[in-house]
Amino acid sequence: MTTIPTPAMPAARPINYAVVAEVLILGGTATLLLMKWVRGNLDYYIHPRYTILVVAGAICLLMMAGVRLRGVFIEPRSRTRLTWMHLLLAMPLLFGVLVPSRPLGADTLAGRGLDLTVRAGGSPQQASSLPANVNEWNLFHWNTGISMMGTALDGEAIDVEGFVYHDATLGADEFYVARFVITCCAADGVATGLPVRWANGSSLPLDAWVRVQGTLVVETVGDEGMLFAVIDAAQVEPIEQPRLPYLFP
Amino acid sequence: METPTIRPTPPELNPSSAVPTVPHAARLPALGQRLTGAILFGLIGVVLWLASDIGVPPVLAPWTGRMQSFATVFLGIFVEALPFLLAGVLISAVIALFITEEQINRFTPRNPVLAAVSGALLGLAFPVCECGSIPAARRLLTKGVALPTGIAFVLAAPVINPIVIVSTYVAFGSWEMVAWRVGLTLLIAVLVGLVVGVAVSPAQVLAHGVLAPAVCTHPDHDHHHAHGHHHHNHDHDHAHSHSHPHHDHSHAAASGESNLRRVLNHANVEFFEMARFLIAGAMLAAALQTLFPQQALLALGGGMVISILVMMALAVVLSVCSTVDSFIALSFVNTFTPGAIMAFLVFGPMIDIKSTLMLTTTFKRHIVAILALLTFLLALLSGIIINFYFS
Repeated sequence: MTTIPTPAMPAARPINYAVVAEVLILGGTATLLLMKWVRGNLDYYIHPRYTILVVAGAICLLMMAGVRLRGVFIEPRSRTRLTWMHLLLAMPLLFGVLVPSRPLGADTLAGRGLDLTVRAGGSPQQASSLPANVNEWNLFHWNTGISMMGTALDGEAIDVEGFVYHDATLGADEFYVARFVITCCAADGVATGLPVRWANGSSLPLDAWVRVQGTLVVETVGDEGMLFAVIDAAQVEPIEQPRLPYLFP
Repeated sequence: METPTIRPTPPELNPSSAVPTVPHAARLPALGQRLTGAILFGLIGVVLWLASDIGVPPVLAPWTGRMQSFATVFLGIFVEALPFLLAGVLISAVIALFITEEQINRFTPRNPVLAAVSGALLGLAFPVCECGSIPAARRLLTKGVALPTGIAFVLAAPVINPIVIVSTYVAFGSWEMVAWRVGLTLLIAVLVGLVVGVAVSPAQVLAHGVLAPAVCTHPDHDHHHAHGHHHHNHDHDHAHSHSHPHHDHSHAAASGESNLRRVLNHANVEFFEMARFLIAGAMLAAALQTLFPQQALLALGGGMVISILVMMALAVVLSVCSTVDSFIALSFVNTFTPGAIMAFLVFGPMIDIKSTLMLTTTFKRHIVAILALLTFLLALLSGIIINFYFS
């Protein structure tokens, strides 16, 4: 298998395939990240505030690939071998290329569960992050608002966007409108959402993006005063997936 | 302090005797390893196929969505950690190429307690998270930094650095929270650094290839040492003498290389060594997230002790960077006890899936296990003390 390079002719050394693999992994991963950035898909994986770091990282990878390129011919093959380790290192590249870019959605929710535990009170930090104008509130703002103000929000007009999620606990005329809230990267994504009352709501396709307009109903249930909120929808229209599918607190 | 678990490894005490036994003993595990590797890669291949949605039969279609969210989470962790890992390997390359052992020795205190404390505070000068602190610590240990310093650094640097201090303050809006986090991290890192670092010798603790030149039995040891004191040409010498942990590193053209090229080449080797653990860890964390719902765990947020364990488990599974974990902790403030939040903030940066795997590049496996266990117990204890006495 291994051909021993002739010491007299260093220029005639065979190609070192392990180094070729390293250059491809470095350059390929960098290109992948830059492509996802250009197409706006990087936001599916990480908070936009870190985009600049990722792009800088990709440029660093490209420079490392460029420097490594020299080793393809001058490095003897016996010193570096192509191993399974290279396949492991190529995993981000393979997953990035072969798997279509998709944000977290209803499929993820099936595994994680929806964060609908509406609690009394909220931290001061959360309160200060709420926009003064209720018309600008998204699903995260509404859920935060409900946990702080409770039934005071009953009867408010609500206009939110999100994806459709179905749950066994809901009736035939109900569905969830949900959004993922990302603090940093997709790994910490937590879903937030509200149930919607809408004729034949359970027949809406899973994961479809919708705009829901209607009235918010907030009531206390049971002896312990558990808050329960639902949107009484006046209109549900299908929309394109927003450019930023996640909400960022 | 005694750590008896480290004792029964007499062959390691004399590193030269361990060398000839390696190829002999490695034959049988190699077969098992190859089989495990083949099964794992086969499994990953199936996941990749399902997620790619290329020729997936309708029967398996429901899996496509879940495997795609696995891919999104996996790439999310990888993309988030990548810049910090690169920063770490670049810093490590600069230390390797431009800082001499003499310079490091001058600044390392002889007293073990001072050594550990200085290691824990060193992060103030290296703003890196856990992905970056491990390569940097490995390099410092190779350069002959004392064990308590190296261990305290690797544990504390992800928290005790300017970026994380600011992000913790921004998230919680209180300096009290920052003081608790930094104080507890400092305490735990120094304690663990002393316990592990003082009881044993570097040869017993460090992984192969990280041994400092003074105890290293590598063939070019003599060559290296002889040149170590020639200050006028140390830059050139170091490019050569520090190649020994990386046998596959080309230095054929080192003399004619620019500094940038040398730094990048050095960083490249270390990047490949570290990235495989980052990738394996990110995959494992993403798999755990995809397969096990966290909702059930989160219902346990109110228990005085169980809540701490849950938050620590969450820190391990999420495997997010210390620069951002305070924002995540913030979202649990209302559901979890204060001790649990603090345990998450202190334990998470020290030990999680990817950092544990990456630590094996620097320390022997049983030492990594001891580090993880000690850190776990101390963080749990801190959480319990906070819950019962300070809230």
